[in-house]
Amino acid sequence: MTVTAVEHGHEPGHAADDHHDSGETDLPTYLENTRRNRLGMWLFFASEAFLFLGLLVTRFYLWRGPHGEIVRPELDQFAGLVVTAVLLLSSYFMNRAEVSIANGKRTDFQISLLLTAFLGTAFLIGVVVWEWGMFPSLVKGHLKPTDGVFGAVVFGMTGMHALHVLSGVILILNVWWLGRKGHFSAERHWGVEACAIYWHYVDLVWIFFYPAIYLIGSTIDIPH
Amino acid sequence: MSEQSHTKRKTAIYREGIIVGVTLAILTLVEYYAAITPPFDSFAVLMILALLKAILVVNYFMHIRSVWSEGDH
Amino acid sequence: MSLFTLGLARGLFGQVLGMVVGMLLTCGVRILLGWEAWAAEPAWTVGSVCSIIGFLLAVGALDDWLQWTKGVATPIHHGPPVDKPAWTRYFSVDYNHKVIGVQYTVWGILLLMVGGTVAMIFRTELARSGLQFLGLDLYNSFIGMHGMIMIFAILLGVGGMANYLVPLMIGAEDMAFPRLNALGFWFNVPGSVLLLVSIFIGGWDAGWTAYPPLSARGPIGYQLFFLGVFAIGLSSIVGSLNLLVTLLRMRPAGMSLFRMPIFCWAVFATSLIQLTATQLIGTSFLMVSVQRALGMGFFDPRGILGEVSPMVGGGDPVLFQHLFWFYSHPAVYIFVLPGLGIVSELLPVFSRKPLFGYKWIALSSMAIAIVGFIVWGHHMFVSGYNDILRIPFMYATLLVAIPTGVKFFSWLGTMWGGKIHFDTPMLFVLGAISVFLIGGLTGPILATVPTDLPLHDSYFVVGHFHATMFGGFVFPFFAALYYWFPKVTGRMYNETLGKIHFYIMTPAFWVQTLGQMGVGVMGMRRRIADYDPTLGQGQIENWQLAVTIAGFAIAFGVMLMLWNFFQNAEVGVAAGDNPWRSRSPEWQIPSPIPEHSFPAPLHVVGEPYDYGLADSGYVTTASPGDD
Repeated sequence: MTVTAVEHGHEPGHAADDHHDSGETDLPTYLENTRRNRLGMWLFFASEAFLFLGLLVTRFYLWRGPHGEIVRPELDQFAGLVVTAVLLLSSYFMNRAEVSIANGKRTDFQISLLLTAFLGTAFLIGVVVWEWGMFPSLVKGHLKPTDGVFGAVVFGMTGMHALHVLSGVILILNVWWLGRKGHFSAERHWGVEACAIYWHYVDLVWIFFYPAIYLIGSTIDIPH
Repeated sequence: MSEQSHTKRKTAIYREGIIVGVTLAILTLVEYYAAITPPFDSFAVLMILALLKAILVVNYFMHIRSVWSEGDH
Repeated sequence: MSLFTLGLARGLFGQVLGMVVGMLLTCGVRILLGWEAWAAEPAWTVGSVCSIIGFLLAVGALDDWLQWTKGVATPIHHGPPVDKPAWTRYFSVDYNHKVIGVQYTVWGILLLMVGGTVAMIFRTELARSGLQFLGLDLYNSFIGMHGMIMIFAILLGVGGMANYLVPLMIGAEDMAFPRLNALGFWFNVPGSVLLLVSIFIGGWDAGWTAYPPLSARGPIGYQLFFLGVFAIGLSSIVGSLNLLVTLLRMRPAGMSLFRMPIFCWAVFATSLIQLTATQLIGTSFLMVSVQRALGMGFFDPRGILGEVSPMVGGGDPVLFQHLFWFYSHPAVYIFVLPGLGIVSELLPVFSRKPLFGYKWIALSSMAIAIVGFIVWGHHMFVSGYNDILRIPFMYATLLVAIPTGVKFFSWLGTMWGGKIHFDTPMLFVLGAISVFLIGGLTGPILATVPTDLPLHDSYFVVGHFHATMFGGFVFPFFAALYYWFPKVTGRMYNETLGKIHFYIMTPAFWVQTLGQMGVGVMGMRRRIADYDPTLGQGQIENWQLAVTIAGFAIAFGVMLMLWNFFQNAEVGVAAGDNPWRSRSPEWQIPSPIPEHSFPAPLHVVGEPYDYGLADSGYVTTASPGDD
């Protein structure tokens, strides 16, 4: 959905400009289209925010102790801090990539994008292997999805977020590949901007999910 | 705009990214230690820290102002 | 010409193929894991996901985006397809908003007929007490089916009106994102197919609200139901996003927000709700879906600490109701706000007077949308949630009556002293006002805790929401169909048949809704296939029969309307460009509207509804000269 929620610029304001189908649009049209796309992208973020808010509400509604206090299961704190740091670093490189293309520094742009994708993948592996314990021969996880509301909410929140990270990584690799073929310029790089703000949005969600899952509330033991 | 001031602006933008990144990292560490240091392990403290991080990301990384400003950012 | 020239046929084939591929994929993974190859629920679930993707790929709604991932630009083709008959564009992916608007509307009317037929079947069953021809499970599936199909139909009708009218009303060439617009429509087709197919693999027998724990333990049909709703929800989200960007970015110079046609305000408010709240019905259904598929116990109250402290770690079905109604109450305003916008739009035209209190109507739509977000708890007065929540939800709900009242008084003010023309669209507008008044006045009774407690889940509620849906959507939608039919086709419908439709349907609906409320007060419960014939001093069967007969009369009226349209779409009397003497931009251009709607940019020269005022006007399509 995210990839498709933006449109390139081929539709200028009016039929009177009937030459607008001939490939490259002129710069004012491109900028007007970018403004529309940008607004569309932010409305999409607003929409998604309600999905993630719904998950946060679920977490605080369901993770309650015997006396109604906020609780959380004991998860691997080190893993949580590491994946959070990795995602944060990837956000920095995504920003660097966008600044680079805006200044016409293509090599820097390409390298930063690859680093972002690499760190994003590292985050995914951290969650799937380390936290979920999908490969018990490597790391044994702390929770199963069936462990009451604790398993359900941890897997629900991290799963929904991981889905967005995955789509973000695919989007970044697509943009990197297009950049390698010579697409995007300092003046016209809406594709890069869309990809960048989407990636930052994924980071933004984790900024709220990390304390909600790992830090807030007193720990509660889960028998196995 | 002269070549020199252009380069200066460029360096400033790069530096801005680094400063925001480092601030986010520090805030994350503060979060981590607040969570194991009563009385700072409360819902309110941790959510305020998260909100601060979110404002930094939305403002500097996502350029939310470009949605309503008419010029290119 | 082969059948597969039609995108729709290709899409449905792709949907079947996707279903098969998804099922094989599931079996393959299960074999790899060393499990038994076939398991019905995972196979149907994964198959359904793949079937939606298969449909979209095959119909061609994703073509351009797939090209973009390869860096290929895809200019938009305007006009009918070059190598096929022009009518095929209505059955294939087309990026023109006028085509998409018609696609939405026609698909919506089709679903309206399916949902109506289902209602007629169980209404016949209810005409007498005892079970005549429906089993209990099938009855339950049918009432849920009627509810959900009608919701789909209404969303499609709203989408049809908004997509067709909004770009025309603001003088825009098209929607902001034409491709997204097409995708938004085509999501609906696989979604509704899944919903209809689900009845054959067990159905879903806990009503359209799908409350756990029943839905978490019900038949496999639930998974298809959930995925169908996801598809429609995605359509809602991308459609409303598109409308918001169009309204905010594509108005012509001089058309400030308070100079838009009033219907645009209604769409704006509706889109705000659709964009955000829709996510929550998706979230709540996804949670039930994964609880069924993966055993994630969001709503399963069994705790993990067993005997020691059974409450810890257990899920809570009441959470589902919170998340579900956070969408499903505002959804009611998604359904009625555009309809109320149509009422406000048509009244000045047929009263030949300015719209009374334009700004108040515009802002009342926004107020309803915003207050609508904090009233969901009135559906849950008997759910056992914290009693403290009841009072704020009660007052918030009663608050909705204020902006709604603003609309009513402004409608009366518009008609007051006007030269009213009683053409069919105007009749339906008046019908809408009368019916919505019934629905509106019964609202506070249900919003107030002490009166809601005995009436909850009774037929009184059924009567109430049918009155709001008919007054807020069906009557205005029919008014809109009659009103814009000459614009879409260039032909006039048969006025006499239209009036007969109105005079059958309106009294029939009064009987239906008041009859439903009546049996509710007698003690008839919702969602029950049978009832005690001695209720209401033995009068309940007569009332039920009256409701059933009224239902069939409404169905007859709708058939009459469709026949009227079908007869006159091609060969009716030419209607001229502006038969209603409207000032709205879409009536200033030829009917039917050419491919590029407006020959030149619009110029806004005055207020939109200054009918009857000397030297006033709204828009001109020619440049004013000194500009």
